[in-house]
Amino acid sequence: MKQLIYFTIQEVLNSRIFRLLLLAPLVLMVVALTFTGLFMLDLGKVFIDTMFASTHLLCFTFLMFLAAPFLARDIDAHFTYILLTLPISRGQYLLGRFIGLCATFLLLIIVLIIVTSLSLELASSIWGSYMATADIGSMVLGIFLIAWQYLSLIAIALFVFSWATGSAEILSFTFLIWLLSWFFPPVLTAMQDSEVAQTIPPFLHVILESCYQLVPHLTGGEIANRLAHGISLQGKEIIYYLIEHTAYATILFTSALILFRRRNL
Amino acid sequence: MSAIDIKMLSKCYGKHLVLDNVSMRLEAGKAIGILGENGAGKSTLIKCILKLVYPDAGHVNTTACREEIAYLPEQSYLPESVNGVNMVRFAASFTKTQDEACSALDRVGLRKEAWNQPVRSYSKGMRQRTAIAMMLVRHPRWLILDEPMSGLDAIGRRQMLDLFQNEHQQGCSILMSSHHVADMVRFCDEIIILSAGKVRESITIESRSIDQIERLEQKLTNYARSTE
Repeated sequence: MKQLIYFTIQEVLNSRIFRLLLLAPLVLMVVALTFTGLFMLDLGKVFIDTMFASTHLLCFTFLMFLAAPFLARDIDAHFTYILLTLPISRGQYLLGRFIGLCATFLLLIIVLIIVTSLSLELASSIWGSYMATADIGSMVLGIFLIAWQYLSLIAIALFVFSWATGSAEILSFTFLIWLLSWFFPPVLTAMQDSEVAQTIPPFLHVILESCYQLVPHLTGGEIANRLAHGISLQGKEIIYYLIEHTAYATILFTSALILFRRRNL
Repeated sequence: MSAIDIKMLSKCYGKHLVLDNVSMRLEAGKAIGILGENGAGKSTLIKCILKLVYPDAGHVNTTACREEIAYLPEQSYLPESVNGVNMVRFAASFTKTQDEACSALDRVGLRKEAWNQPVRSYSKGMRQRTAIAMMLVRHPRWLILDEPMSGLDAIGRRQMLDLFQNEHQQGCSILMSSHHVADMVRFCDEIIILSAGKVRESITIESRSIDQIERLEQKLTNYARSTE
């Protein structure tokens, strides 16, 4: 399987879209500095907000324009025929692709963290005490945590790949699930409010409550919001968040494995 | 020697019966051809052998392990960003024969200048040659070829047949599907005619004459018409 992991990394590193993504943090740095320079107050907050938004954008681009089409191409162009007739089992194939994609994603995040640190240094030297609210620790923690949820989103792309017939299905379903993961948790959280709960039928409330227990209670968006406003994250919250997303990725990967082992290619 | 045993294999795609109770034994050491019209079920049969497709009924038994079987699909898609040498090295890494990657590319006649170029700059023939090098570098005991000559010009077809002939002479068993009668007669020891998902006839090739080609073409046409 390590051959496939290495090959996946090689494929991604040689692809044009990944090389563009590696350059993107530099562009985002310029954008963040320019945007921050437009404000008079709370420059640190503006800078953090811009960099976290950039992290989301970069992770989303990796998911929708690299990971999902990369997997879709294996099905569309029948590259799975060549790979699965090598001494690779279907499970090893899925795991090899997943680890390979995650390794390149990690590389992208490391580049983003380095560029963010440099740009923060630069911003502090330009605006001095106006940047006091932005510290490197919370920036790195925020980027790391926002990126962590994309591990489960890459696992979603793999899950969709395990049953979808081609790129149209893989791209649309991955996008749809990404969209739901963005909107669904805040809506469910709002519906837990006692006043709202009184206005909906009890059976529906039970269903919504069950769904609420399943979705992440701390999202990347909320992490970005809290850190930008100087509200620190508790250790327990961070641990739950990491466990939650690791569990999603594991469940989705296992489901993908079960479905992919029995599908006709 | 390993053999592939196919027993009462059936496969449907929706309501369309693609393989209908197919049974055959593919003996090792032979060059066996599966001949049939478009849609006869040749590719599905090969995919069932390779476990890329699961049959609805019947089974495939083979004494050959995965390492011993190499497959060339009808259209060889290779990742655009990787170069030819690295593609072949990747396939060779499973048999620890990476050192032979260049000699495999040389054997299949891929120009040296192209070895380190990304696959996106390759023509269809060059991609096919790279895929064949990926097979050969593993020294398989079975070559399973699904329409290997499709899309190749006359010279390319000839070179491919010579290459497969050479592998066969070195003891490699070959299973090749095609609807091209002349190529099959020129190359195979035995031809199995598959039409509308059924095995119609198994013919041992004794003469590679034009008469034999014409007779087979006639038979293939008759079987195809009888199922229309």
